Amino acid sequence: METSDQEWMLRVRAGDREAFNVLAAKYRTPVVHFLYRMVREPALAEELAQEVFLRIYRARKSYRPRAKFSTWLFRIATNVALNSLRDGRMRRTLETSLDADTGETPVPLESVDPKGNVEQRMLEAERQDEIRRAIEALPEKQRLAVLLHKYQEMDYDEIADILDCSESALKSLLFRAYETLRIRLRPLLGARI
Amino acid sequence: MSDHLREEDFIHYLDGRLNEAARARLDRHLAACADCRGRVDELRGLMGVLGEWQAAAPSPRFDAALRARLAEEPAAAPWYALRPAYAAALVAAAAVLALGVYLWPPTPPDVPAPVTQLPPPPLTPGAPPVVATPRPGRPAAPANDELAAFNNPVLLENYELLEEFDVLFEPVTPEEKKSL
Repeated sequence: METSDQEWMLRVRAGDREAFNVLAAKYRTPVVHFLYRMVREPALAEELAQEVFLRIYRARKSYRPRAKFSTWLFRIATNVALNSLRDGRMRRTLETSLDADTGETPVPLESVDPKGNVEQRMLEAERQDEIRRAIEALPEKQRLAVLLHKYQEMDYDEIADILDCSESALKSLLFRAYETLRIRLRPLLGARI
Repeated sequence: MSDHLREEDFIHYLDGRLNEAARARLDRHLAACADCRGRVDELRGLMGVLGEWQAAAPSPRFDAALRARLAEEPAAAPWYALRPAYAAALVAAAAVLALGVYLWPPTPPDVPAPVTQLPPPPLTPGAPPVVATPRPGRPAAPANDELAAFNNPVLLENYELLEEFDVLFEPVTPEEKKSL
């Protein structure tokens, strides 16, 4: 029988560091993806993901298997991401550096087709930038709901728990977010690559 | 049309999380309602478009970096990370101990504090210590009385009395005496 996340985490609580490595290996990619979509910078996303796992490890003694492990994990990831974004906004307000982030999405390695031509890759990057901008323009809670629903494929009860709202409020939040995105990204809908 | 899809229906429909009966009901409505059908089609297309946004995968260094940071973590949690009940008991015990130390032993009553008498400072830097001696023919005062004279400001201010002791290094001339 497969060991559940909660069982792994209970082992971590008992002092088994290998059990923690199992959980980190399972969730590192979803957590890094989520944080990347929140903060846009791959290096920062990785740093924050490590911070998330460290927080989990530090809190191991107080772990109680009340909710799903992934709910707990993504709630921490959400807090870490929001704190980082707020800190970043504060930094940008204070700084007047000319070499500030251009806001462009780097083309991820996995999406680069070695056979594809430069033009095709540029087109893809442009579309991804548009999608990113449209999602970023959503209110914070709607954006989180979309990232957790669409990209992390989480259940409603889990997302509602992470965002601290009811399931019906979450569905309303998602509907409004998708309606906004549908209108903003309409030019892309008819021109799928 | 009265039974248009509700917000929740759209989300469930897109997720494919409807049971057979609910799905059949919505399909019947969509077949007859162009508005709802158009929105569902666009939302379905939107889901495809959103899926184009790729995220950067963790770098190969991620695991090693995480292990290194974990290695820096202490094996046991610090005392303040104890369960609240244990931490409260610890703090209470420390408070009782501190109170005990403060109250024990009790100060004995009616015991006067010891008086320390310091020798007087030399009148002239580098001069030998002064010894007060009574003049010949006068009864010798107890030694501690002479020493006390140096600490008695009333006596020190009274030159007539002070003259009774050989405390000056040089004899006072009559002119000096007049100027005093």
